[in-house]
Amino acid sequence: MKREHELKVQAWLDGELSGTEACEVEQLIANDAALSAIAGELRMAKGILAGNEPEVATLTDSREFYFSKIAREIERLDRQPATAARSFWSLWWVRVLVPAGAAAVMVALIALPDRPGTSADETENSVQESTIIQFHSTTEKMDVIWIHSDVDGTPDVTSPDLAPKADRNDNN
Amino acid sequence: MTTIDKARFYKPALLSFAAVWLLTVPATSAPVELKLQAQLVWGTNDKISAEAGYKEVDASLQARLRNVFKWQAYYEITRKPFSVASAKAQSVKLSEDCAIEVKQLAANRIEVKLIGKGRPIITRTLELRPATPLVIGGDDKNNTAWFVVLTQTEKV
Amino acid sequence: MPTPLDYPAAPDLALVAAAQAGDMLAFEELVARHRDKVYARAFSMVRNEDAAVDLSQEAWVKAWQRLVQFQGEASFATWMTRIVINLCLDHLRKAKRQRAESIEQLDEELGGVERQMPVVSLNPSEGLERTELRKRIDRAMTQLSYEHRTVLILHQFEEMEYKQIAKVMGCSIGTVMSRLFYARRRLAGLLASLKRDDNR
Repeated sequence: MKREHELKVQAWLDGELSGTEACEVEQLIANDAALSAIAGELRMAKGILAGNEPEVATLTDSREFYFSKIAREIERLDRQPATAARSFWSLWWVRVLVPAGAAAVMVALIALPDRPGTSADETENSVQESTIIQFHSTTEKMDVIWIHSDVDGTPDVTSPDLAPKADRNDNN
Repeated sequence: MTTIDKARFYKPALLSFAAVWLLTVPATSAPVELKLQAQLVWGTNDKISAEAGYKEVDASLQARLRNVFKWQAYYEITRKPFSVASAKAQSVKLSEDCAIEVKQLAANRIEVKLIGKGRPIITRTLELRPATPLVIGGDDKNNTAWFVVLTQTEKV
Repeated sequence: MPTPLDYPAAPDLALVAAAQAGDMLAFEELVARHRDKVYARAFSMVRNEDAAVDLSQEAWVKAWQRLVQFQGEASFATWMTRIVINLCLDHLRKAKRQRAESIEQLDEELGGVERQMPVVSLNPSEGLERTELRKRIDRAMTQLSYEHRTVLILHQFEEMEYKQIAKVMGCSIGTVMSRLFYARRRLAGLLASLKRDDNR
């Protein structure tokens, strides 16, 4: 019974109770010191948290780098056969708009000068396409090719001695 | 027109045509020596003491890399200037495990192949643009990263 | 001829409409605008930077696929946050299945532990500068289980009602209430103990 009352006190504080229920809880609190103390603690915890959500460091990846992976995944999914999407495609306006939209996306990705695409054409890779992100940074004027190393088979390109000399001495 | 007249007419005409052709042939059809530079760069967020002996990349490149990638410090491991003047691939070794091969396909067009531990990783053809480096990168151990930065230094 | 969209100046709804018609540039602008918030919500739930980046990007891909479903009943930012919350919950559930539960965590779930917690009556945030308070709240929240942290985030920071939280977390309203009750009491206790450490 006590636990049920405690939860009702919380629901009352959170505005989750109807008018009648709220009145009942107010009566309970007035007549029970322990419940009143719990109400105080919960109210205080709510108050402390309100407007004080901890701050999280913002993303450090550039706009283009962050978006390039998203764009790549969208492109990959667009190439997949539509098996689970039948109910989606049954909407007539989807059948009209989405292909037009996809064509617009492809044109935008390939043809527009400031699109995130490098001038580098692909010829051959020994790693899977899905491990490579490629884009042009218009702000930094750089063509970037990023090879993810967390996929099986992606080689470790660097020399094992690339760590600072101090660390190398520690590891030996 | 007699045969002799035709010869007198056509020979200068042919010579003139040849002269015009030689003068107007695009310069791009002849191989141009491209002066390039390849750098192997290490990106990290760890503080590296000066005693470690690693040199940071120049401020301009540092700023550009920072604005694109998440690492704060970029150290130059190797720098190799080289030139490419023909379709024959020029190989540039940047570390024990890392090399690039560059060959010229046209005046401003090159093919770049990244070699890791003796085998090709990726190959790209690209148009060289002024002040636009090609940066190939990937994750390295301990949340650091490697980069190969290819820049055009001058065109002869 | 229609006026080209000024992406940086366009309101969210205009960008959404353009993106729904397939305009990837409009979608990219939406991503740039809201990516920090979406990432922050993912990180607050999963407490791992790499996972938060992956989950936030996955949320954007899902958003692109489901854009036609966005009707403007909530703000675009809220809609996006809901998508990333669901992905984070799936991620956390999978991780939980692979992890052995500690006895303490099970006890938290059953609701026995908070009965032993003394009621905190003095406000542990008094005298604290806001940045310091937020850091302490962050420290305290990392000590909660993901279920308790999630219910606190959803109720307190996403302002969701009990029944919405129950639906998103796939549990009963009673469970939501129990978890929220425990989370608040535990948080108050943790903040109070940090305050006591100050005073020593």
